Amino acid sequence: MSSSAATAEAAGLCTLCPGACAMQLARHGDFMLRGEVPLTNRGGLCPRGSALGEVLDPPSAARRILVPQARDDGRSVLLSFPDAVERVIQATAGGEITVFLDGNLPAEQLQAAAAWTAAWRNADLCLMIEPAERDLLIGLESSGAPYLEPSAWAGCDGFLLIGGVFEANPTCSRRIFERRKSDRKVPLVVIDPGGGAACKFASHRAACPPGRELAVLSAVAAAAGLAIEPASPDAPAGRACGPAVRRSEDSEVLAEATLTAKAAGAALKSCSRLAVVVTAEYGRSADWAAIGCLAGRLAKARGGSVAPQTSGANALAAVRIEHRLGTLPLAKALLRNGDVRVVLGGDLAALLGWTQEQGTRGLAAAAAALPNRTTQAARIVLPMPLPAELSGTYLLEGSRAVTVGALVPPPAAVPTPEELLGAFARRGGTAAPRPPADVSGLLDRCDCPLPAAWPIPPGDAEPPGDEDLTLLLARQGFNAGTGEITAHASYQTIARAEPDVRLAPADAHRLGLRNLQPVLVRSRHGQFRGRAKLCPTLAAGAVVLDEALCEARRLLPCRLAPGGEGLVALPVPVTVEVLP
Amino acid sequence: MSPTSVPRAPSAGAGAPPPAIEKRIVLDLDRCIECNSCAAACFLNPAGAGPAVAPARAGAALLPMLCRQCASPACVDACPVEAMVRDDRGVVRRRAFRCIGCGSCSRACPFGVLGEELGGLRTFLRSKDAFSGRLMAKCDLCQDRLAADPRAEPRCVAACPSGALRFVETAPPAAQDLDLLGGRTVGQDLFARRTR
Repeated sequence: MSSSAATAEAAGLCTLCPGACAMQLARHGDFMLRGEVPLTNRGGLCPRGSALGEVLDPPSAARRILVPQARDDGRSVLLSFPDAVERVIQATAGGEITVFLDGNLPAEQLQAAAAWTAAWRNADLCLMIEPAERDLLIGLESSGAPYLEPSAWAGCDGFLLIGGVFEANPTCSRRIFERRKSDRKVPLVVIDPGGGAACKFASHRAACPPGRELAVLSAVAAAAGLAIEPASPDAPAGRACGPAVRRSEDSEVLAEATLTAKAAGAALKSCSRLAVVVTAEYGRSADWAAIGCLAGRLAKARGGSVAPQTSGANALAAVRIEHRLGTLPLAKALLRNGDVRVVLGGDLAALLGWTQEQGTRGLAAAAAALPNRTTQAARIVLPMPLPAELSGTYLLEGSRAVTVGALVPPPAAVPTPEELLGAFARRGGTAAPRPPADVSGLLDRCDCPLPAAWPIPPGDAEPPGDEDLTLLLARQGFNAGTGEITAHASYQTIARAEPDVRLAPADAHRLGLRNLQPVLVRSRHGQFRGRAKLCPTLAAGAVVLDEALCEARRLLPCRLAPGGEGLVALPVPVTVEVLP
Repeated sequence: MSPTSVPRAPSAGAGAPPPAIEKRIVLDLDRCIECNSCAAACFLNPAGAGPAVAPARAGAALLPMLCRQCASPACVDACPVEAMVRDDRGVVRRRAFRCIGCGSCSRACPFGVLGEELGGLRTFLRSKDAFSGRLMAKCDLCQDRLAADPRAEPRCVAACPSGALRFVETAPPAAQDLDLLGGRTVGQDLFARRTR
C-alpha cells in the first residue's frame, strides 16, 4: 500500500435485493478497509448489506476466494484455470451440457451467457432464481399491472401485503409507515400464514391457513369488488380460489379465514391507488403464479400497482430474459438427467434442499464467489466474483433499470461469469458469438402466459398425517440473508448458530414448551433441530423455519409441477418434540 | 496490579454538573420490524470492541437494547477501574485500555443493556484482537463517525430500514416533535423518568 494514498470513501448500492440501499466502503488506495453503513440515513442497510461489506473486505476471514481445483478420490488437487476448463470439457465427453447460471447477476452477464450457450451447440442455459419467485413474477407480468415506482408509495391509499415482505426487503416498511403516518386511516391488509413482522402492524389481518394464500386472496379480492371467474370451464368449483378443501376441519378453518378476508377486502374496496406488496417464499404455496396474476389484477382494478420483493436483486430481469431468449426454466433444466451440469454462481444444492448425494449427481463443475454446498459437491471448483464486484444493469425498486457500478473490482485471476462460460465454449469448439445488442430491449415488460397447469390439482399435495402441526418456511429478519454469500459473515454465523423454530404460543403451551427451549421438528423427509421461538403473530397449528437454511428446505422437498413448467414445495405435516 | 489499585482518574462529572448530552437515540416502538439491522451494523462496527446494540432474545419481542446514556450512570459509579466515564460531551463511554471485562457495569446497569447475556459470546469473539481480550460492549453513539461529520448518525440509526431508530436532539420531551406513529418511544420515556 502506498503511504501517499489517501483514505477515500466509495459509495455504491447494495445489490443483494432490489431495495437498492446505499453502501459505503472506506478504502486506502486499492486496499479496502471496511464496509460501512452510510454516514447519513439514506434508506437503511439490513443485515445482508452489512454482511456484504464484511465479505467484500479482503483481509476478512469471511472472504475465502476459491481457487481452481479438482476432487480426485476425495483429495483436492489444485489446477490452473486452463486445466480446469479442459477437465470440464472432458467430463462432458462430447455430450450435452446444462449451464445453471445465477439469475441475480447483472443483466449484461445474463445476456452474454445466453449468447455463448446459443452459439455452443451442446449447451443449454438456465437462469437460476428461487422457483416460487419465478412463478410469482410470471403471474405479475401476465396480470398487466404496473410496478410501483419509488415516488408512488406516498400516494397510495391502501396496502395489501402478501407473505413476509418486511423480512424480504425491510426498507419497504419505511415507505408504508411514512404513508400511514400522514394518514392513519390508510388500510394495511396482511395475508401471511408465516406470521411475519408486518402482521403486527396490520389494520386488517386476513387469517390464512398454511398453503391457502390463493384462497384467501381470492376472498379478499372478491370482497374488494374484483370479479373472480373460474380458471377454466373444466375446473372444479373453487379451483380458481386455490386447492380444494382436503379435510373436513379445513372447511371450518377456511370459513373463518373467509370472514376475516371479507372484512379486509371491504377495507380495500374504496381504494383508488392500492399498492400490492408481495413476496414468494419456498415451501409456502403451489399457486404463486396464480397469486401473482390475481394480485396484479386486484391492484389494477383498484387503480394501483404491484411491488414484488424478491430475495435477489435481478429476479425480474432473469424472468424477462428467460422469456425473450428462451433459456430453460429450472424445472426443465433439472429434467435433463443425461446432461452434465455446470453451476456458475448461486447455490443450486441449497436452493433445492439437496443432500450431498443428490447434489453430486451429474454435477461436473461449480463456480462460486465463496464455498457453498454446490462447490462442496462438485468435482471441479472454480472461482467467481461476488455480486458487488460486477457492474451492470439491475431492475431495482419496482423494475427501474439502474446501472450499478462495481463496489470493488474482482480479485486478481477471478473470471467473470461471461469469461468463464466463454472459456468453456471456446474449448468446446465454439467461435465467439456476435456482440449482443443493447440490454435494455431485453428488460422491457413481457407478456408471459400463465401455464395451463396452475394451480396444481390438490391430489398432488402431500396427504395429511396424524400430526396436527403444519410446517412452512419463511424468511426470518433476525438472520436475514443467511444464504450463499452472507452466511459467511460473522454476524450471520452467530445468529444462525441456534436456528429458530417459530411456534404459536397456544401450540407451545399444549406441547409444554418454553421460549428458547431446544426442539426437534420431524417431517416424513427428515428432521431439524432448533430453538423454540414463541411468535404471537403466528396462528395456531403452524410451525415456521427459516427458508434460507438448506436443512429446513429438506423437510419439504420440491417436486415438478404437472407439465414440468415449475417446481413446487408445499407445507407438510410435522411433529415437534421437546428436547431435554 | 489488582483492579482496585488502579489510580482513579478524575471523573468527568466530579465537582461539576454533568454535561448535557446533545443528541440521543430513541426507538419508535410502532415502527420496529425486528429486522436486526441495527444489531448487525453495530456488530460489524470496525471502531468498536463489541456489539453495543443487541437484540433482546427473551420474550416475544426482538427489540434493540440500547444504552440510554443516563445523566447519572450507574455503570460509571460501579466500574472499579474508571473504564466507564462520561466525556465532555456527556456521552458515557468505555475506555478500551482500562476495561478488564469484570462485568461490574453490566450488573449495575438498571436497564440491562450491558448484560453479559446480550453482549456475551459476541463481545468475546469481537475482542480477540483487543488488548485485554475481555471487554464489555458499550455504546458510544459511534463517536468516530460523529467526529468526522457532525451530520452523521450512529450506525444503528443509519442502518435502520424502517425508521424506528432516530437520533434526536435531547430537548425536553414535551417540546420535542418526535412525530411518531403512536407516540411511544423507549428513549423518550426513560429519558423523562431517569434524568428529570
